[in-house]
Amino acid sequence: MAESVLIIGGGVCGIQAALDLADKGMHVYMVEKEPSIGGRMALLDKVFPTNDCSICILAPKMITCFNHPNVDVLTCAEVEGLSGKAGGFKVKVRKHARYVDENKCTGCDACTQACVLKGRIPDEWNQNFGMRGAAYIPFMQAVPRVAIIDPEECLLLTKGKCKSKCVEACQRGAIDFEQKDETVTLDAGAVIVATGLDMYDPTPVTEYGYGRFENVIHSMEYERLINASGPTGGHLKRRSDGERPKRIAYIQCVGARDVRSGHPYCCSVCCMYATKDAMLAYMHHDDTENIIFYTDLRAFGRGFDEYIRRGADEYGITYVRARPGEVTEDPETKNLYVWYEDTEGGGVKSMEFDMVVLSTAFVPPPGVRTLSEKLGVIMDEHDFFKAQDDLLSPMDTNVPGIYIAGACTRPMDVTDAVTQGGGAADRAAQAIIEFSGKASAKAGSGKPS
Amino acid sequence: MAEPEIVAFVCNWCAYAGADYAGVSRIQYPTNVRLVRVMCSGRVEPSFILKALEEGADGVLVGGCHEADCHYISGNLKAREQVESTKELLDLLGLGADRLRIKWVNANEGEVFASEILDFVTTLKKMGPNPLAKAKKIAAGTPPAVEEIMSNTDAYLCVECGKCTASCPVSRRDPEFSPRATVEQSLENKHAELETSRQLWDCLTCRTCEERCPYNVRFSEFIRDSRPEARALGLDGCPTQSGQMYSWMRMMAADNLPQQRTSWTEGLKTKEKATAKKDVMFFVGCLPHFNLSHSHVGANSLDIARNSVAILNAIGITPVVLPDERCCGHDLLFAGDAANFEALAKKNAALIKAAGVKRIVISCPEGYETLAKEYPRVLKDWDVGVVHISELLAGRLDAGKLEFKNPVDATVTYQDPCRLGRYMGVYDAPRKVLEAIPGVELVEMPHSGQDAICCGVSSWVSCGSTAKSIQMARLAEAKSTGADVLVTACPKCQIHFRCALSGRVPGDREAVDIPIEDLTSLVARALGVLESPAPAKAKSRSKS
Repeated sequence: MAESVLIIGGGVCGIQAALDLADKGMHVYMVEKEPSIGGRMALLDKVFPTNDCSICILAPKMITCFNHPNVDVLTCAEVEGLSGKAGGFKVKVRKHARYVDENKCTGCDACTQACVLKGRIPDEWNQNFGMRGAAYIPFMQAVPRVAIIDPEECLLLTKGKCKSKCVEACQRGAIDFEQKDETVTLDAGAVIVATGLDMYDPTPVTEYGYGRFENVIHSMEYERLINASGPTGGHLKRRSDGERPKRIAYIQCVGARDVRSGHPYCCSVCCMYATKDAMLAYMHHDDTENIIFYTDLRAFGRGFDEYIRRGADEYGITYVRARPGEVTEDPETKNLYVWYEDTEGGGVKSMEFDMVVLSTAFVPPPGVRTLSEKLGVIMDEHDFFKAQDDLLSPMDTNVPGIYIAGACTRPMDVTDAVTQGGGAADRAAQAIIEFSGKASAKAGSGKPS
Repeated sequence: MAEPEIVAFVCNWCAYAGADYAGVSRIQYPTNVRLVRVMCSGRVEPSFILKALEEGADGVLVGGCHEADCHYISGNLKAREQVESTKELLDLLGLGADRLRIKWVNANEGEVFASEILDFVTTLKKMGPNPLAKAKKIAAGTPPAVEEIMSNTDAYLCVECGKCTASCPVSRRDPEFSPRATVEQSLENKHAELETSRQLWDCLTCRTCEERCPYNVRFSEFIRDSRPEARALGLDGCPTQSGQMYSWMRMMAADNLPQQRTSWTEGLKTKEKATAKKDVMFFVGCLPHFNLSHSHVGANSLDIARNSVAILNAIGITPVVLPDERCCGHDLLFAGDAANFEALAKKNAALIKAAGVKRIVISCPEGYETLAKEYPRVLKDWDVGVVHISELLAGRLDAGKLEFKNPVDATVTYQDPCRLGRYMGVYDAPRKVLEAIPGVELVEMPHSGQDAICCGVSSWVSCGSTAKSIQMARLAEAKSTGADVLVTACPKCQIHFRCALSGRVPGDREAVDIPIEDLTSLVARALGVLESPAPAKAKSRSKS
């Protein structure tokens, strides 16, 4: 009888679930495919509707979770298979080689500074705005703060030839090129799936020129640019000339509420985060003009509507009800023109901007379909995990003992993800008690009365 | 036979006066003629002549002043030009050029007028009655109900976000045209207003809006299927050339009018029937007809047909070309004449079946879309595969079975035709073909592929200042790429752009003037089989 709960995904939702369970005295395995836990939220600058610094409120939870005596965090790890049933799952997990000994590494950055490829590989953690080396630490507040060596880029691992300056630099001897992928089998009484979300790549929406026009960026790129620990130290800069944008357009529903991209659903958070993004630009420089082009303003949560109103009243954000048809570029200035129909006053208009930010859809991350097949959990047609009953058992799946939570079930904000994490933790704890109870009841019935 | 009926368009100053003189002088001549007085013979457009014949007249006479006598200086010369090309058209259509005459008659030449009529009657008697008079009339059919149109095109899903309007090349120039407002109007139960509005005819059906609509509302189809109702109300969208193209397209729907459309194949290898299973047909479409109707803009549409067959011959294909092929019906369908479109579709299907063909190669994107997408919609047993010539060539290139030997030194830019691109999804094949030609450098316009801007007119409606403005913007884009030639794969794009350049051009001519060439002519040059000379700049319309 296993009393552990396995949590797939180490974002804010998974962390909440882990902490709730661990604090109850239950054991948790957390499987995270990236080298750090924290998920999307760790990369955001601020979060609505309070405009709290995202990492400031998340980092303590990340560290508590990682250091909790009842939590075992497996980073660079993926679930390969699952057998057994509720109360006694056996989960096969592949732990990808990090080529750095987690127990030895202190996160001192010596290897990342020494790497011969330093500053030559686009840094995906900074949405490719910054550069990193083959040995790197994903981001400043990474947990665990342990370096990793990129096996697809490292010269020694790809070509077999490198001066291996990282090995030289590491005083703890933590670099280990002999490390191999490991497969472990974990016993778990219950499983929580909290694999989170990915952002839609807006390249196919050719009319907005993402990928073609340098100053058209998407919202995740914006988050990193305006983030003090991001590649520009929190200075919003245009990709074309490094200048500060003074007029910024935000285009809503890019790839969302869009049947062509396969995401007909509303992402529920973009109206809010675009407002937040615009507020941030204004907070940095109050001569910034922000215009949000929206389809419908959907501010449904507590304090949300007030937030939008504050955006308009105190931060001077202009809300225009239109989905722009096209973005064009002035080849000289690299400024952008947003073409839209004035759906209230009539006529097609264009406005000039220094920067256009596309509020892109939340989409399920790659690989979740395969994961769902391994777990036997049903998904909906958009590759979100499907609850047994959306109304009355939103955390339960078709498989007893496997629960779902967070943005892997539908697009949602931090608040909802945390709520669901807590909910799923409770369902998982309930399952463990239920199945342990049954087991001990059986054992008890064997005793002479 | 019954006495032939003649419609005579006579000019006010000479020919009508001549006829009048014949009357007052009591000169006897056959009474088969109905006179229509016009101010000048130059006013007689081909559409007038075609309309008379379509309605069953056995012959048409155009009467004007003698050369140098025209009261409007050169109207009569213009009339002669029009009549000459219309005669050729009548031959193509199987009606016979001799059903049309032009005669200079002075105000005092009553005798001349009378003898001309007498002679014409004799000729017409020999030719027999106009088959179109006896042809079965095609009933208009019931236009689809608005609810049906709305649900077929997903118009009910519209969220009125305006992305369509902001994408529309027409809306950008004409503030009264808004696809969003149009759909909204119908959603509000006011579809009848659309039916009688100009906006119904302003849409280019270019599908730019549809390409971007987040809810896949098929606005082009919505417009297409709303037009029959307007037509039933007697409305049309101010067709170009007073609808002459519609006339000859409708004429082709007649059963008893065998076409004579293959004289241009001389010197090329073609056959009339499939002799082997793998035989392909080259569907010519209206290329020979456009060549005549748009000779004034230097359309050279026939070059596309000749080059296409020459290319097919060069890669070892002897295509079936049907002398009796009909118009594919595209323009009638999109102009709201669904009944005649269906009649043409049935006619073509029967002819193609009889020729034993299972596969068609086509150079016209509109025909391609019609044969591949619209025919299966209206014909039950249509199972013929259709491929655009660019796809055929790209396939050969991919398989390593084709190589272009002759270099064509040119920087080119490519205009994606709406039907080939957004309707059929063919973007890569023409580019692949162009890039395979040694010496050709392909540069893209800022709007290309699915974002390409339409050539400004579709199915011969609403050719006005908005169209011209779109064309100028597009030509300026092409020119700004630094390309030597604007290549397109559609005869209509070519006609529209050449037309835009043939008259006076607003602003700087240098900024828009670029030679326009069809893809097939570049390929023909690269294969060394060019049938026609390299393109000259669009010829300027004569000042007269």
